[in-house]
Amino acid sequence: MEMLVTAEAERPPPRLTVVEGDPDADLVEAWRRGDRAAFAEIVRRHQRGLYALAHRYLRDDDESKDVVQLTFVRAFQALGDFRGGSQLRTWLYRIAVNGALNRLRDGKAQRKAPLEDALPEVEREAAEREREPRALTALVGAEAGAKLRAAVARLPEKQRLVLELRVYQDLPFKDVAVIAECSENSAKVNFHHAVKKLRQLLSNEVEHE
Amino acid sequence: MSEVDCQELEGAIVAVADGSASADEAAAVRAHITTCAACARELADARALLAGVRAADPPPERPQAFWDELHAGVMARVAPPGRDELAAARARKQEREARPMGRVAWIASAVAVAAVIAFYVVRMTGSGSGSGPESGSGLTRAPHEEVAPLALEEDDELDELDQNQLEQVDEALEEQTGDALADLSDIDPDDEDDVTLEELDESALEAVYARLNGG
Repeated sequence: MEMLVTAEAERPPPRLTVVEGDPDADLVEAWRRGDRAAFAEIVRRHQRGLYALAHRYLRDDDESKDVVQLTFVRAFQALGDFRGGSQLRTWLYRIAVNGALNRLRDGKAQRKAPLEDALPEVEREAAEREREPRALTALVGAEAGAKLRAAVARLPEKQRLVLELRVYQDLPFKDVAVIAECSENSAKVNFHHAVKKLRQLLSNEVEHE
Repeated sequence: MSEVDCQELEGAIVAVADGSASADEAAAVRAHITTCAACARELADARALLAGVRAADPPPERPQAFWDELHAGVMARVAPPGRDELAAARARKQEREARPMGRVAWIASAVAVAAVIAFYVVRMTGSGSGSGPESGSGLTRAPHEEVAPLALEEDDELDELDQNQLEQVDEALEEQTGDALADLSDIDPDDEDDVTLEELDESALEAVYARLNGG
């Protein structure tokens, strides 16, 4: 993930071509012709999703809002470079993710993992321990979301990104792969590992209670 | 069911829990869990986990005013650069054009006058080199009565002029109007603070008139 952040910091937004089936295709074409109203509608459609995405990383209203605005500004400026082969939404999400990660890297925002201290530093041992699936199920059902959010925040960057894009944004793995800059198969593998890792973390949490 | 089968199906079980499994993967998992309690538990756990993750961090709720502000912020940041400045410049231009004799018109007039003066000086100096005592008397003679309109494409009159005479005329014009024309070329028509025609040294042009009239 660090590579992703570093590489994107110096790079313009990836190019985008309107792909078949993109629900934003008409708006993108109008936007390309210079229709500002079309761009305004694109902002209206995607600002909530982008904000939620940025907010999961930054946990700060102003920082998240700024990332969203910069995402649209960069997209607007890159209008002439639309090439590539992904949906507008995917393209925007990728810009936003990189913007949020860059902001974290630059220290403009500190990632605020909710109740991050709630989980002990036992990840390595947890991988070797016998899991108790029923206990996990009980934790998920009984505990507040704080521990789950904390566990997600503890995932390796790529696993976390893939999991969040898939679970919260409902993106298909094809688009997740574009945003995470990996193959579709790699995105699926990372998702699988993320689920496994979460189970380890949460199982261990149950055992320590 | 062997342990190898269970490991091979780990990914498929997560995919089924996530809803992204292919038809083949889903069929294999369904068949497997009928005989493997551990994998059936894995599937149930994975489903519960993903549902819990989804519920644990719902999209932040914000009032409509928040989204309106965000939207307005974006649109303000992508406004065409200098739009206000262009509008102001357009208004200034319209104001100038509305004047009876705008500054640009003055400039155009001055350039036209200079060109006409140059033309007559050239013609009179050229014809005066060998056509009688009236040569060089300038505007006291009606040029259109004696001199055909300058039509370079139709005749070669200009070529017949003495180059030395032309140079002399050029020098005289430069000397008298050089400063004024230089100022004209520097004028920025969009800059209200720039030099105006009224500020130019009109005495230079008057001097040329006087000289051509024998003054």
